[in-house]
Amino acid sequence: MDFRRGAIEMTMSPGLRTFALAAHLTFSVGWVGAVGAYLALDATVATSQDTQTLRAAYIGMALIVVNVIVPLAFASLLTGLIMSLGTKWGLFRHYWVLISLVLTVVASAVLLVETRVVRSLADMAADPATSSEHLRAMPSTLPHSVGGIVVLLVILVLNVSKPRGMTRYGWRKQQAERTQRGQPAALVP
Amino acid sequence: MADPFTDPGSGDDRPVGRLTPGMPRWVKAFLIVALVVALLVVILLLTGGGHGPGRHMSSGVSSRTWTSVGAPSR
Repeated sequence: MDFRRGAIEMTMSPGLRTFALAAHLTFSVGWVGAVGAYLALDATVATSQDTQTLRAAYIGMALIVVNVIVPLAFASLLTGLIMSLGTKWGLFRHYWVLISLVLTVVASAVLLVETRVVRSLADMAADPATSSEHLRAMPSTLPHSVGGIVVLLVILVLNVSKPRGMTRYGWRKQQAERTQRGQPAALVP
Repeated sequence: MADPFTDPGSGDDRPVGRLTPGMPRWVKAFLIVALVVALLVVILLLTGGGHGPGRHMSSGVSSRTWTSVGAPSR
């Protein structure tokens, strides 16, 4: 336990904390990049009328979602939980952490639902029996991919800026730790 | 009874602080924006004629495995 700083540190050693942070950054930023790549294919599906391009784009979307985006999303969520619980930030003490967690869970849930849609669209596109007219009539998933990347960017901004604000739970925990260290309870100015 | 939140030695009756923090302004603004977005989504769902995986497809379940780079396998 480190009492020199303003809060009691949690259990992770500095080396482990650095590794966990690097992993979390890799998965999180990778998630944003993968959605960007998916967005390029999604925009192509929304605008192109060429049959071969449409087939390739739908199949590409499915491959990216299944093999890249879903694993990165869950890795990001898991490493984020590890970082929160293993450092002074905690999971419920600060509003920026709590909101990031909620947004990540919501984004991951919507992703899982949309994965089924994308796979079915890719199935139809890969089927030689699907006519050109049917291919051109198939929808994109642009509302979800645009919404998704906006949510990820909001999470990114929160994680970089870490705006001030402790929850009531976090405040109570901090006061309890101060009491344990023999310090007086802090008042909010 | 003395007010526990004022400094008795200062002669100043203004409170020096409170024991618990309020919700920051940015969180309130965020929650308002989130609520507006959620309402818009609900309105779109109610007026858009359906949502969910079945809306795009005539059949429901994917019969291929999109887990490798290359030709899909059944």
